[in-house]
Amino acid sequence: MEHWFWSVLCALILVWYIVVTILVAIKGGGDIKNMIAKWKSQI
Amino acid sequence: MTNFHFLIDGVIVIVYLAGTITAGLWVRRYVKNLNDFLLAGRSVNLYLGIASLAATEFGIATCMANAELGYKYGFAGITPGIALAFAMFVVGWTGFCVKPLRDREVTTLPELFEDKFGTKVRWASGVVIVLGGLLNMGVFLRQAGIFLTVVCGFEMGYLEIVMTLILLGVAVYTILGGMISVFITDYIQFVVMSIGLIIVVLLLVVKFGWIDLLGSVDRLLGPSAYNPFASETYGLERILLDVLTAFASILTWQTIISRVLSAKDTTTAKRIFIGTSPFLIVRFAVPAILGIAALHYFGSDIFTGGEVIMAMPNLLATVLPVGLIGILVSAMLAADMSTNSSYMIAWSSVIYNDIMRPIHKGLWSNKKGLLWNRILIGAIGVFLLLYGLWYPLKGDLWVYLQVTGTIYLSSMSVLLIAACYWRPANNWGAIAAIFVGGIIPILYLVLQEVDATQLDILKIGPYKFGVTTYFAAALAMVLGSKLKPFIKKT
Repeated sequence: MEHWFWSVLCALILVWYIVVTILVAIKGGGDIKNMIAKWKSQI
Repeated sequence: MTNFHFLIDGVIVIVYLAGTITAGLWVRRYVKNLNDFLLAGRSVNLYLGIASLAATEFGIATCMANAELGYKYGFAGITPGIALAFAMFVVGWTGFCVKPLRDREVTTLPELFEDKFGTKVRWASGVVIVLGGLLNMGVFLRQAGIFLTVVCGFEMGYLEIVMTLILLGVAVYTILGGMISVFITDYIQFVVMSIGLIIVVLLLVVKFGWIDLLGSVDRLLGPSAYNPFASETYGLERILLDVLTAFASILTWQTIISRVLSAKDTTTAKRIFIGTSPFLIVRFAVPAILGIAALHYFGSDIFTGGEVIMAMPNLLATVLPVGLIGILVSAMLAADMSTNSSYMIAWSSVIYNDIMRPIHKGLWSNKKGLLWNRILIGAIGVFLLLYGLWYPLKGDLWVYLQVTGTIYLSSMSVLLIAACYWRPANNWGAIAAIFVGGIIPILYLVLQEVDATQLDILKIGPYKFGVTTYFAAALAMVLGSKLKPFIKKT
């Protein structure tokens, strides 16, 4: 039972990590673009 | 023995370093004032916030400390990560403390305390935050140097040079670009770090087999590796300290709070916390798997006592193939650079904003303020180098991080909660909480070095000291706050 808990937790957390890495890589780039546009307009 | 190939892996690392430092230097042109330098103009959105918070909270020292937990305690070593993730989710969901903090638009925690407790408490809080933070951060550089020296196969004599080079690389863009550079490089570092870690963990699991890893944990650590409550060495005291540390660090650790304060609004700050919370389990689970893989590969006899922390880097140096080891070193450098840059700017902001407040009184020009912040970041870099070279770490690295963190986490969390939600709180209570919260962990660190007291201190253990500190700081706040009106009346 305890084996299963930790195995499932590790599997879930790895899947979450992969998904979030892809999501952040794409959408975080968009955030940076918007921030830089905002800073440029203030110069 | 390492598979690191200087032509192939070395080029991968150099390309990564050149790319990050160039990006960090390129955005320095957008720094116009102190607000930009310290909080990136309070314009950070959700995904960049998640990348930055996650990258900051995962450094080489954290990875080594948590791999050590995996090696020594098996899956029970992931417990602090579960506590941290739970704490961050709850705080993000409810907005507990972070909502009033972000709504007030302060730069640091002590600035918030000034309204409730006065200028002296603001100054004292700044001193405690910097003291606890720098002692905590002081061991980062040496751990990073040890990791890179082992994985890249340098002679141990080059350790100091490796440490200096890591620091210089980070200091250059942090000094010039401040928080703007930190956020941009954090994004690159999060992506590089995550890709490297995911590949390495999957490769090790496939290579050794998950069932075989579980078999080694069963054989070498027994049932306590799956049940933290059952362990003689982990146990209830440590779990209680993990939970208290988790909530306190989520609420008050300056590098975490600076992400809340840099967010474009309160809702975004709360969403950054909710979105990042599962990463805090990753932060423990991924290194714990690496530690368990090291236990499986080397067994429990080769690395014992203080050498346990070397098991994970030695495994990676031996097992990973050429090319992948370059990606791993880049990933770990990414993790460490993001942590060091964020920590340096976090502590410099507190020194300038709160400790130096009686000198500049908030009246210095932006130009002078920027110059002083840059000088402070440089000075912190020099301190880190000297402390990292000088301090001999004894025992469990995670315990050291918890004990030094407790110096400020205990009192600052009490002050923050009281400032936000307890009307009778006053400066007497705040000073008493700061004193008690600081003195107990410092006593622990000093007495464990003194021969006459060493054995007794070891018998009591760091967990009892830690838990006592939190409750004593809260009690001091209550007693001090009640005492002031009572004395004034009588």
